[in-house]
Amino acid sequence: MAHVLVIDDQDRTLALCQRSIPEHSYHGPARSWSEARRMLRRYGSRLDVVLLDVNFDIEPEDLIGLDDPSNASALRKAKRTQGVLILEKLRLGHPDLPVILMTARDDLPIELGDAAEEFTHFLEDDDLDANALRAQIGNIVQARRGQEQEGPIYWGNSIAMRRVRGLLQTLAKGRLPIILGGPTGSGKSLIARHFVHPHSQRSGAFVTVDLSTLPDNLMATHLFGSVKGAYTGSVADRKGAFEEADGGTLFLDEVGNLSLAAQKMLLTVLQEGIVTRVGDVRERRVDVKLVVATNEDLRAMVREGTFRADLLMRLNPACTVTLPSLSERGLDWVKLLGFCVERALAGPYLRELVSQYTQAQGMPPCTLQISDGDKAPESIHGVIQLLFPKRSMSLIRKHTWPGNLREFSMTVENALLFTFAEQAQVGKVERPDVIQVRPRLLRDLLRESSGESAETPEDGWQAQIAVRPNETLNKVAADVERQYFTQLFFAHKGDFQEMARVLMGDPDCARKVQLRFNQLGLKVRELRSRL
Amino acid sequence: MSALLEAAQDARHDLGKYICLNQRWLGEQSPLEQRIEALQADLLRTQSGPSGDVDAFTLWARLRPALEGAGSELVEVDAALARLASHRTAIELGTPDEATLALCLTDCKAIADALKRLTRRLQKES
Repeated sequence: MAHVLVIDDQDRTLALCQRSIPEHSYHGPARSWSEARRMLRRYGSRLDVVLLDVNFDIEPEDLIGLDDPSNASALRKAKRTQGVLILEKLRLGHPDLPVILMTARDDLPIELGDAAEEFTHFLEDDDLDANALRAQIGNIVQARRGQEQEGPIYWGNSIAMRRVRGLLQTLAKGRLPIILGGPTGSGKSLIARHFVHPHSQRSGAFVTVDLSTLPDNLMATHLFGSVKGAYTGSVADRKGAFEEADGGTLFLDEVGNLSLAAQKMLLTVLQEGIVTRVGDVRERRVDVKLVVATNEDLRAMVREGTFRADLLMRLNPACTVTLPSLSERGLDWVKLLGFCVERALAGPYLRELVSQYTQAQGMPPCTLQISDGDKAPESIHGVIQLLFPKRSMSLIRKHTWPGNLREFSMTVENALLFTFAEQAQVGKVERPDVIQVRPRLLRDLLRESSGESAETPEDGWQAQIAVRPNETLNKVAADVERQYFTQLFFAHKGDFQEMARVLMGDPDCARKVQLRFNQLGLKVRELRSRL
Repeated sequence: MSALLEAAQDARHDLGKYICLNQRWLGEQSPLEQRIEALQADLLRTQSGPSGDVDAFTLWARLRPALEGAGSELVEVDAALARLASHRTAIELGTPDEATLALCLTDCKAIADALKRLTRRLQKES
């Protein structure tokens, strides 16, 4: 079943759809943009497709794009082109919502502009019958759901991301390596595993090696294998990652960390397609699709002499695919929330919490769906609607998400855990099918994620307090403060603006932080020398 | 945009789009009763709105003057409507037989097609 919104000034299409294609759920008709906007807000994330008429014979005050209603020609044009103007407005908030324009492309009274992209379809009058529309809706819904089920990757709707996707689809099938760039948390390893590997049409394994976690002296062994006795403690022959990935894909994360010795060996593998285990003379042919990821500038590393120029050339730098940050992906936040909720529900603990909740409320097993706004949405059988009020959505939109998709997913998972844990305490409620994700909870989670950045260990920093008799409390407090400031200094690489942002929420207070350092007797120059 | 093209677009939308909408939608395999209802809706309530229903004949009489001299397509519409008018009583009474229904559908499609061709030709010429 698909959810279809009909935007039409007449009832006919809706009535015909309801009678002849009853398998779908219809909303509307929305007779103007203001009605359509209301319905889009109400049903937005649930809608699969919009049926949109072009000509709207409605009152001038309900028309958009009409400056002077007394001008007969302008009025006529506004009516005749209203559907296109509605489409342009709709696209601002729903860039990937499929829309079927009930007209032939050739008959459009004006150019469609940017709105004419892959999510806009046409249904000519001559083809406007139940079977044609049923087929068109079916195809759209199938393609859309197929796309959504394409692994745990959120692509978003931006042109940049569509380009990335197309590029990767092509590069995946080729034999050349792929460099994946992009900021931390942008999903490089997810894409390598769940997109590049499946699209590479290779039957071998997907093997991943995080080079940032491997000591330099173990890198070669880990990647290329070793024979018994090759080094102290090498008690048996061992396959390396290249051999494990033979016929499949090898993903080298943080390739900038590759030691110079390992770089030379990798170069040989790329040139010859041959691996030699450490301590061995036998050459082994391997067929591996290599994907490397980095958020470093490899060209700059070449200039600095920390990365081999010939290796970089072999890694196919001309086709480097850079993943945009989360904020550059043309986000549909509600859809992204839905995507992350689905991912979070893969975890057994959260699933158990949801199941406990539904049982306690006497509900059947339910799926979770995202809803936004301040009003409780209409009930949908078998669905718990997670309601993100306007203030919660505003917090999500305004946050910069420096940790990208990873940070977003974790925030959503935390929000769900706390929300359901809270619900377990409240007993029976009037609308158990609607659970609000409170702005306060989100604010706390986002403050935590931005305040305690990645440099802070999970269990916090440790401070030692030596309390002696006759020690003043001020002295003890200053000791702790000194230790805290020192750790903060190293965590933020001596950046006082960053420290001021963490401590006072304002990077412009850097001077105050520096003064406090002086008051505590902390020598900045000495600390810098230890960075 | 010429007044003639605007008038053709109006005719294409107001008459051409709706003259066979219900009949096409149903398809020719639907029960006779439903197809008669569809023909009645298309021909006798071609335009419907808060101010009431308008049949195809009245609508064409309103639209045609602005199209005067537009081309031979007008004659095709005139002829098709004249043929449909000859079955009007049967249509209003809901008694057309299969053969009549088929003829009416052909004429309705002919009107839609003529108005589409007219609009596209004028668009090209403008």
